[in-house]
Amino acid sequence: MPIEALFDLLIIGLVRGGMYVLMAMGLTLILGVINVPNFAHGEFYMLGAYFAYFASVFLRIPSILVIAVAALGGFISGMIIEKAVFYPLRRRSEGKNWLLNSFLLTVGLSITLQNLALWLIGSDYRGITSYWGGSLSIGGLMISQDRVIGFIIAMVSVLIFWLFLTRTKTGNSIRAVSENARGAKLVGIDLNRIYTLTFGLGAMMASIAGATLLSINPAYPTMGLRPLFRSWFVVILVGLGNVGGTIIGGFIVGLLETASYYGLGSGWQDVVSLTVIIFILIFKPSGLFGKAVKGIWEQ
Amino acid sequence: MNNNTTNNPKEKRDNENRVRESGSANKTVANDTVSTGKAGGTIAGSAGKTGGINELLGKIGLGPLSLLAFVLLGLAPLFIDDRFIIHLMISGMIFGTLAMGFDFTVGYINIVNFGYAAIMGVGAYSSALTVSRLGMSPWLGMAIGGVMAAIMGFLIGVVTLRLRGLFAAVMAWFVGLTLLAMTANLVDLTRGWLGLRVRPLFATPDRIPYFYTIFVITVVSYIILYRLTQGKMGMAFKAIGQNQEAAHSVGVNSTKYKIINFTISCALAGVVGGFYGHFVGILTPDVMHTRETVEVLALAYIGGRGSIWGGLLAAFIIIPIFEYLRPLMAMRFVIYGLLLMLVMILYPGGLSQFFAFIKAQIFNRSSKVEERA
Amino acid sequence: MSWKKSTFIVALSFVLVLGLTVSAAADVLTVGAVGPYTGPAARTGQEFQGAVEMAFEEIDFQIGDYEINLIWVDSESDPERAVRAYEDAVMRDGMDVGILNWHSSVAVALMDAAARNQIPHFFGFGATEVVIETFEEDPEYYSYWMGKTWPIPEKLSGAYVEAIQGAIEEGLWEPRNKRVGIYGEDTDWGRSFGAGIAGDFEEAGWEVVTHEYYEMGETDLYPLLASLRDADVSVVAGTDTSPPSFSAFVTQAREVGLESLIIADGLGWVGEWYEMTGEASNYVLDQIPEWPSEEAREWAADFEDKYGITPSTSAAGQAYDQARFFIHIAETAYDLHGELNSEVLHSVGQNLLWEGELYFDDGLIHERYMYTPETIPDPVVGEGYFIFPVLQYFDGVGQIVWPDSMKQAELEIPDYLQE
Repeated sequence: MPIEALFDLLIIGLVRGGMYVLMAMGLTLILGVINVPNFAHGEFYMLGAYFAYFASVFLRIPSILVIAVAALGGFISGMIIEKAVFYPLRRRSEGKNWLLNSFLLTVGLSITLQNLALWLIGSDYRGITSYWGGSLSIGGLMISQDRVIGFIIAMVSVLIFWLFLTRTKTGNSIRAVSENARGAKLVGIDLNRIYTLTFGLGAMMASIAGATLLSINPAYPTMGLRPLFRSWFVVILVGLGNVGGTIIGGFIVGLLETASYYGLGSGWQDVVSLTVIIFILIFKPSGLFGKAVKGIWEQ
Repeated sequence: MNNNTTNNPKEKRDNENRVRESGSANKTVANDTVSTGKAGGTIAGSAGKTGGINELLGKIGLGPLSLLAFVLLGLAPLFIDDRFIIHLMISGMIFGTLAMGFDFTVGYINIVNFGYAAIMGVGAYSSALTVSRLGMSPWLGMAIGGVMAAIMGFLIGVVTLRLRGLFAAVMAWFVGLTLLAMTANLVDLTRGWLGLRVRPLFATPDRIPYFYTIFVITVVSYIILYRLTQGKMGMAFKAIGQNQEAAHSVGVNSTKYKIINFTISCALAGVVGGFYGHFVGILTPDVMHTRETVEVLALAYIGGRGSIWGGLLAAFIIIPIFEYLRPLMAMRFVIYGLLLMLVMILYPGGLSQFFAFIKAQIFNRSSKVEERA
Repeated sequence: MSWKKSTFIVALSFVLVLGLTVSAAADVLTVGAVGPYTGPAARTGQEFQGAVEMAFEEIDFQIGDYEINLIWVDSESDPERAVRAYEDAVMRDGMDVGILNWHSSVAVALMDAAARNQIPHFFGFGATEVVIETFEEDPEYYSYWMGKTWPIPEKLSGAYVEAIQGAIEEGLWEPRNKRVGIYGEDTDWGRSFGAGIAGDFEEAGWEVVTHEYYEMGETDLYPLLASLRDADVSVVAGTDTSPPSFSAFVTQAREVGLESLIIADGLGWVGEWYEMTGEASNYVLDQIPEWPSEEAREWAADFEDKYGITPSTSAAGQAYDQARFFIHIAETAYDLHGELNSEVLHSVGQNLLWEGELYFDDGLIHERYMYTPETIPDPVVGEGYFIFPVLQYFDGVGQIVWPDSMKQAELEIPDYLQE
């Protein structure tokens, strides 16, 4: 393999991985705090793409604001859905079989959102040619500016989010709930508020990913499935609920896929990355960086 | 929290058992007709005899109600001259049987086999390929499909040994996704997305022979699964499902039972998959898609976990209803999704729990009547 | 008395209404249009729906004395569910005849269902080998599959090679080597087309270096394009039915610096394609025409007004032509037999359509739709019949470069390919 191809693959893999980080972080956050294994995460990616599309077509605002609108839209719809769907389940189930029931709930949510989009918006591909246009030369590789800026947005979002989790009072509360919900309640943290907020944040991260990629992936109802699968790969690889680990995991999966894609062909990238993950799980069931495993995840 | 989970299903089970016993003591009309038919000439109503027959039925795993349901189902083609309804019933039995096999794992050892459709696909492709490549009979093909799927189940069982709950589910899912990707890419063997044509099981275009084939598969599966969940093995499954460590400490070999469970449940999927291929006539890797697992999972959950028959009943209710909602197009799936969510929020026990509740009500009333007498 | 009278009137009107509905019901032809109306290919389904509706609206849902009852048979992109929907349509709605379909796998399953129910089915779109193989296994039994819309892809792919060979002969292009890379979406259509065009290139003396297929809908194609670039090929050829991934292929090809002439069969299939590719599509070769005539463009505009989606020639346009061809067949059958039902349509199909006596010249896309005993189940392919000109895109507009009779411009070779 020529050395420049290796360099290209590295860049391509990192750009790809950056989006996985963003998606997976939302997924793992929801899992870590609310204990919901979210099968509908891809649908928030879809919502983000639609928000961005309609914002850029009807509002005619600068691209960065388009993404901000999509982020806000994802955040609000996430919170509404948490209140409308998971809150009642939490009240009724009182913790019994929570994990499996909430999982099936997200399956239903995914089907509902996909088909609502098909019914209300239709099946056309709603895309835009570009946000910023033009391309950049990195080494010998020309890469579209949209991808580079998208990558930067993803990284900045991750950074802001990280600061929010570690430096603010609310962020600390979220982490406290993730570690010990009962304890957090005892020190006066309003659990319901934290749950709703967390779901909104997780949905927002998926929405940002969908919105920044709009010029590459136009919006359509079933677009969320692939990103959903990939973000699950990352989450499982690094260990459930490990927010920091997803940063490394996202890049690992991105690079692994890119390499096997280049070497073996597109169809084998899933086989390669899944085989690696399966073997890691066999020898380290809690994932690469998984430490404490919550009892509820093993029910 | 954990205590709650342990207690509830047990109570439910006790309830069901009580109901079942009561069913044999207080003969319902259905009960009577069935036992007369079955025993051929025995005087109906004699408490001892009926009890004996019920015991016999119980031994092969059929309660009076399920026997009646199966007899009615088996006779249905004699009265129904409508290919669409026959097809619907075949679909119902395909998905219902898959849902039973799925429930055998999720409802007992409490692991979601999220790669179930891929396992079914392994059976379907194995069967189709042995028939087309080796020229074997489709019947043998279906058996081989079952064996191949059983081997996959065994492997998944081994791989997920150290994993529980969500980890095991995701692992099974990943194995399924890997199988799907391989099926799509081993084009020389499977023809990938080009689609593999599968020889039909029967030379006739008539659907009735297919009906009875899947009918036999369904009934046999039901009996096997039901029997397995009743005896010592069923207790072991339940114990593992509730608390693996505790089960281990009282001497249940969780390794053995987990692997047995996976192997049986997957073998079943393989046989049904084999049938599916020969019934539809073409296979694409899509049959292994997660979408299909979700379909089966939804039936098992709506039917009620830990009941075996719940999934089958759900298939016979859900599939026809949604078939009749076809004109709604996309709206139909919105309803489907909402239904799933509502069941999970409002009645996570599903049909079987609802049924147990009704039965308990009837039981209470009839016992009161007896007391008065 | 008045009570008796009113009962009598009620009873009489009841009988009348009943009689009317019965006699009305006798003159109804129920046509089932199969398509992926929900599920992953729903976009195609929506185009089908609009096109078929417009075709039947033109005749006011009336053929002779028969009222056309149009029903939608949703395949959901799944063979088993498609058969279920089909049987449902036959039993519940009394479907007399079926038209269209999209996937080849669905076509194979429906061929059985159509034969079983003795329902003639006209112009399924499923095109690949499996359909032909199934048909040839028992042509009599499968005779209810009354002809495919699309020929097997290899019959169409040769045109590109002819166009390129022509340009080389005329000295317009001197390729740096005769190496070609095949790519495409990993579906029956993608692989079938890839195999077809690979064979055509090999026959013309080219070396096929690599086959790269990717999962349907994949939009990150950089690794694949890098690998094609490193394989040093002068031409890359392939097809894709998913617009997001196809436009990604074309734009990213420019980004990784792929120095090959790109054959992108079907890039223009979906109306919004140029909004997604922009300038990157310059020099790209495709076969799917822009709407070929003024009339066709008007129709496309009407379609867009009515349904709010931009129709594509390959789905909406083609479905519209086929639906009108079907209407033409049904009208002919009615004129000949004075009645319309499954048997009449089946026999007219076999005796006139398959013999090449019944054909259709009034389509938007192709000049003549025709079948002969040699081509069945495929249509006749070639100039004057079912043919797609090869075109090259510049700024979103296609110029026909092949065949010579339709040529609007010579094939242009980008600077980076000229040596």
